[in-house]
Amino acid sequence: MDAKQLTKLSDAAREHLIESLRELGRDNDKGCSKQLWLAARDASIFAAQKQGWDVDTDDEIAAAIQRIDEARGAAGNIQAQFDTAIMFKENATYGWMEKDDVIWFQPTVHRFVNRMLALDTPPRSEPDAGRR
Amino acid sequence: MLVADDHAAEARLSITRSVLDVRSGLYLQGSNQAWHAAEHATNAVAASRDRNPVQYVHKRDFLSELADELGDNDLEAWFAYPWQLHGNADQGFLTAEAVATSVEKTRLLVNRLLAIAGYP
Repeated sequence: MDAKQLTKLSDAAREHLIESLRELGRDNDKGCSKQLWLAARDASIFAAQKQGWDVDTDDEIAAAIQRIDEARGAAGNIQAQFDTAIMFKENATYGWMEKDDVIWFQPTVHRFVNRMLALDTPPRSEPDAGRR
Repeated sequence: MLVADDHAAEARLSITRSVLDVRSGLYLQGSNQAWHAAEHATNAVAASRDRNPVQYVHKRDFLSELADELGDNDLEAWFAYPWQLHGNADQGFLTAEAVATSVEKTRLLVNRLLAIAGYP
């Protein structure tokens, strides 16, 4: 795990969140949606790297989030937050969400990003005592 | 006005139709049915708590209140699934796989809401 890389990712995720609020203030819902997705993406890569997993593509990121959700016993809640971010990714392209939708759902992505950036590194597995 | 029992029954019917529609390849229709299921399930919760669903401009506003009452912020995130399907019913931007996944997640949300409303 490269500490510099992790810091860069967490800073970028936070910056995208701030930028999403700026875009919302400019009435640019698509721009806001794109920034929310980018924040979630960077935060997801951050969380995956903290687990020691290299991810790059959106499919790999989605698989990592599913693993994190299962490993933490989150019962689909982390996944649902991530899928809300995916919804914003689609909205950045298709623009189907109304402003009220964007306003209502965007805190979920903020919560997701903060949750991912606060994830601990998983404990190292102990050596097998029976083999000593 | 429909009472909680009616909303719960409509929610169950709509989500069943949605699952069947998706299995039959009717993705837009299935998306719309899932949306209605979530709406009715939300209304069932509102009615079970003696609140009039129509007093809320958006059902989501009631969900926000409910999430606060239950201390469960994660509940709001689950509403993204039916909401996305609602948009998809009009514009058809989701893949077949994404519709199937969102319908299944909506089914879980509907069950969760109905349990909160007292219809486990």
